[in-house]
Amino acid sequence: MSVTRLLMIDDEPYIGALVRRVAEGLDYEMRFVTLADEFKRTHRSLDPDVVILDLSMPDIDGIELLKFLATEKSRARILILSGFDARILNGARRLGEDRGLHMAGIVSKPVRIAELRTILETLKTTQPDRPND
Amino acid sequence: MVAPQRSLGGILLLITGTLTLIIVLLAAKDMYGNWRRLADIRALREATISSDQLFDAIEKLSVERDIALSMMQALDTDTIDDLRPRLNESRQAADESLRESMTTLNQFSFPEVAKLRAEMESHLAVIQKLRPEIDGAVDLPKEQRNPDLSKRWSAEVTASMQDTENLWIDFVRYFTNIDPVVTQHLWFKQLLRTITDYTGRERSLVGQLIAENATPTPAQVAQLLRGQGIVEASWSMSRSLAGQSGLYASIAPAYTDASSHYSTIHDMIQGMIYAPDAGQGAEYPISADLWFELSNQASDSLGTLKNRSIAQTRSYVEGLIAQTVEGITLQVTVFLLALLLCAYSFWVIIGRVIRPINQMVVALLQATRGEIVAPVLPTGRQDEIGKLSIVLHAFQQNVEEMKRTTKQLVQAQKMEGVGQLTGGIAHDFNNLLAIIVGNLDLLEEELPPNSKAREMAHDALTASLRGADLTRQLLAFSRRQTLEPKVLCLNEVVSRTTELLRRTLGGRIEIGMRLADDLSPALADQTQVESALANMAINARDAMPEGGHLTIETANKYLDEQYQMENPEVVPGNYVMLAVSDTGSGIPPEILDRVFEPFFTTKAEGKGSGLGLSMIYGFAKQSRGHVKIYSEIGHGTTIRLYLPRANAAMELPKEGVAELKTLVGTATVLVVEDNADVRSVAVRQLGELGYHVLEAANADGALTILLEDRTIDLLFTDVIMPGAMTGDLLAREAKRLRPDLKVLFASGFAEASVQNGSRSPDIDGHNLLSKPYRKPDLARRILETLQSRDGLS
Repeated sequence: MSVTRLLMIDDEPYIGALVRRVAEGLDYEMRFVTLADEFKRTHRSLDPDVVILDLSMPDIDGIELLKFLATEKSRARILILSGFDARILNGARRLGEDRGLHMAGIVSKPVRIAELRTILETLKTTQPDRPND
Repeated sequence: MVAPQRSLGGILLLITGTLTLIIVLLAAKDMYGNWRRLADIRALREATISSDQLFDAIEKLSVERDIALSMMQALDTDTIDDLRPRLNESRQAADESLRESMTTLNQFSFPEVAKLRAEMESHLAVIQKLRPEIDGAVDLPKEQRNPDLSKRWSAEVTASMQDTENLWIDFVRYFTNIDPVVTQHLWFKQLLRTITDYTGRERSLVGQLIAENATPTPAQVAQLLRGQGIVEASWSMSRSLAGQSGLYASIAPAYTDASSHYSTIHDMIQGMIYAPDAGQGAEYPISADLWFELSNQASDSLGTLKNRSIAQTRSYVEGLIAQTVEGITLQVTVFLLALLLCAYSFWVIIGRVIRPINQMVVALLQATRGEIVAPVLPTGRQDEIGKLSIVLHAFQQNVEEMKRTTKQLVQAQKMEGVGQLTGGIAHDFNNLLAIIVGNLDLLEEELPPNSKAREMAHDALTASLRGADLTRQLLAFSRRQTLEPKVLCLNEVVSRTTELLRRTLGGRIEIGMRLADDLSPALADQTQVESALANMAINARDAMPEGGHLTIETANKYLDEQYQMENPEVVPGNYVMLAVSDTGSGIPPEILDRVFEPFFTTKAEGKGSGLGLSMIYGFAKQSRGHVKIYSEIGHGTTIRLYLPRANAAMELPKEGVAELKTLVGTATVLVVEDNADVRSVAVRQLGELGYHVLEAANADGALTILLEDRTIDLLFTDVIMPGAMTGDLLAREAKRLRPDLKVLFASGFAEASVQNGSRSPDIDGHNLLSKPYRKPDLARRILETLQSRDGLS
């Protein structure tokens, strides 16, 4: 079983640490960033299978990141993890879908570990074969 | 009353009072003048009666005098014996007339009459002194008789008579001031008397001459008459008669008559004096008999004239009295009318000017202080006060509307502010809770089962999850929850949810449903609708610990511009309404606006989060809908949730607008409503529809108006009002007072709730208008009720 690569961006490192604990328990190779530039760089180098985005961060425009992923033609499944603003979340999901991104779902904060674990497990098992594997 | 120096009304009263006082004083002065004149004219009547009798007496005395004079002239003849019986006869007649005259004079108190009486008495004294002298002179033998006595006697009597007549002239002059016509009458009578006197003397002397000398020469006649001073007097009399001018109509013909009678006699004398000189003596043989016959005729004629004159004078004076009495009556009437006018002016000024102005001052003061207690203003009048009161009424309404709008705006801003604040906090909280909950989850997994540490981690986790729940509700309020709107049939959602709710609500709550058959689909998140309905039902249950009626209603509603004016956040359009009513304790009006605020709760500590209604509010707003609460203390609460119609993008019910033009009326409607805002809206809408509107804030005020004598066609009353009397009891009492009165009820509770809840047996779907109502609904229901056979069914 190949390693599943996960890239996550959130302005809150503790959230990252939390997700890391769950993801690494599921054999994900996880990279966590808090800044948009770092996210873009890492995305290019890592080519992740799964991306977890927080859209509502004080200094990062989550929508901008979605556009970036679309431009990069990211093949990652994208999970939105956010605290609020359903309209923006729904809008973001539609936007991503329209741009050809694989939107995996929306997870509201605070997320229960069990729920998160299930989602990540599902994403891992349904991971499509990578073209270059 | 207001002090006159500071009040316009007082000044008006002062002016009116003063003017009326002047009118009254003038009338009183005239009246007094007429009273005085009446007294004078009554004296005039006394005087004319007195003078007539006096003249009569004087005439009788003149006859006596003339006979006596004749006797004096005939002292040396035997004729004197023939004259003696005539003298006695004339004395008797004179005495009788004098007695009568004195009796009359004694009856009258007028001072001028008293003077006359005194003069007459002195004249009588002269006569009585002379009578024995004449008798003495006549009784002597013919040779001893003294002709000189004749001259002295004549002079004395004539002087005395002259005094009397002079007094008469003064007497008459005095009356000129009172009435000039009466004065002419009196002068005329005096003239007649003088004519009679002189012509009497003329004819007796000429007659005597003819008797003694069958054909006296003109010179003899002239000598005789001149000797008595009669010719001059006669000439003066002629001039006097001819020279009268400016006579009053009532007297002029009499003068003409008198003149002609005098001429008859005088011409005869003239003829006798001058005709023989012209050589016509032979053709002018006047016998003594013929002479006396002619002269008696003339004398009788003068007597008739005099009697007629007396009658004329008396009727004229009576006429004057009647006229004056009439004048006094008229003046008394004018006086009383002026007093009445004054009283009426006072009444009008106080009732129609001062009181309404004071009312308006009170209303303005109240408006200035911001009290929404609108006193009933005198609208409906066409005058300046009426116009002013209409403007003031509009001002009152504007102030009230402004207050209401400001209040709503403040509340809306507050809700918005609280929403943003809670939304922001909730976001941060969610981030923190995400870390706490996640880590507690992991910690719980790591810790050995049944260990104390794991138990502690679990408790912390439970509490964190409750915090997360609160945060979610806050997000719902601040319209930031995740919604999945879809086309819904509210009736289905309600039916299904209500089944689930029955157990939760317990057996003591009776659930009634009225679901519209033709209900349009709504666009909303189904889960949130269910949650909202459950929340409303649970709130209702909590308001009815002793049990009661819970009514759920659905209906299609159009919220119009009018509704928007009162609820600025609403976009006019078609909505699907879900209303939940209870018959519970109700919410006090002062906190009604705040029930949607987060954490605002009336429930006991720990019984409710205070977020239930906030969530409904946030949900409604986020769904582009609207939520409205209506409550009456002790009667219950209705919460209406309006959700947008699924297919009703912007369709407007055109029929409502077009129809409105035909739904106007002119009847008088009495609006009874305790809520000043609602009342002023109803009053304005009815006024715009053409109705004449009276208003009252409660049943007592309404009954006061109903007891007044005013036309009222329809009673439009709120069902639930503070005080002992509710709308239905008021309606019963009103129908008792005015059986023809039509009644329409208004209630803020959902219609189904009013009926299901058995709030009143008098109220049914035919006479109840559910608040809030649109103007076309109000217009149609008012018109229907006015046209119905009976207001109460």
